[in-house]
Amino acid sequence: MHELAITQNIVDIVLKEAPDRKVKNITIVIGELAGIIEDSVRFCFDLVAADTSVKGAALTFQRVPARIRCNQCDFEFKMDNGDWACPRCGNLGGQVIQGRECYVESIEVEDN
Amino acid sequence: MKVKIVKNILDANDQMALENKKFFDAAGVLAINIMASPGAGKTSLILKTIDLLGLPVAVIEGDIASSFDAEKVGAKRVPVVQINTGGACHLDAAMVRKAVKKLSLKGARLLFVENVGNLVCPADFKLGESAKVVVASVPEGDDKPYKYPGMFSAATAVVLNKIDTLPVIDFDMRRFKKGVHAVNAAAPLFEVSCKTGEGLDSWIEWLRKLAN
Repeated sequence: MHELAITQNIVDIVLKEAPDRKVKNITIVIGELAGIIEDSVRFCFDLVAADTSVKGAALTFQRVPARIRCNQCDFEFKMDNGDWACPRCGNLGGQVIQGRECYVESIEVEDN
Repeated sequence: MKVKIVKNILDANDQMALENKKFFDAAGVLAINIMASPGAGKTSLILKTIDLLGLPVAVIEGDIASSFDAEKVGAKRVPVVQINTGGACHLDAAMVRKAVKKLSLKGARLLFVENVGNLVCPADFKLGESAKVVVASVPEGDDKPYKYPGMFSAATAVVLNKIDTLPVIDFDMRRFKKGVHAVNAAAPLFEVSCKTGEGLDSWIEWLRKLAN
């Protein structure tokens, strides 16, 4: 539940990139393991963006599934439902190779 | 018009954490971020560690409200600053930066930063620490690594506190260890009781190695 801080950072990043442009859309990439709740960011966004030039911008979320490399057999697999067990050898656990992403990918601004 | 950005959302915090780290390096002090759920024994571990370590330390206490923890640490005649986040569920690098200005780090080798009790948010906010220690405790149950993989995977070391309660609590040690190992094969696990002192010797030894 640190989405307020997350959302404040999103707005700060966008305002820095486009201080004097009307922002129509913000695309945010969030990994499955980043622990960020889309609905909470949307809720916070209206509060944080009020009185700024990003007010009213749409938010597009691109979710990145988690991928794990098994500690035991090196098999790479997509994590299903938070399950760390390797589907090939059954070992529980591995390295996260994808799924912690948390960044502002791009913005769509009104043409000057 | 589309403008490509690709900027980490926590970049501002990461940058400030990096500055904090430089500041600590220059002061010759190693910061340790202590994270756990409320009541796991973060403060108890810090108090016991101060008694046993035999090295000069300083402490930053993070809580939503109150200064109970800072008073307990202050009673040990150790430099301490309390941060009250006023509702925020985690410490961030800016809070630590502000707190450290009020703290005498002179001679200190280790700086313990006790985070807000929470197994979710603190894992994502770097503070400038050299090690993250996650404290779990037996009464919380053996399922915590499975339920909070983000926190346990971020740990440099895991401390399991309150092992003196094992005889009266259904806690499957094998299941707990398996869960920690699944998300973090590298972190050492210290089984301790801050009440009886059991197991603290290997934790202290690990800290001494870290400080050297």
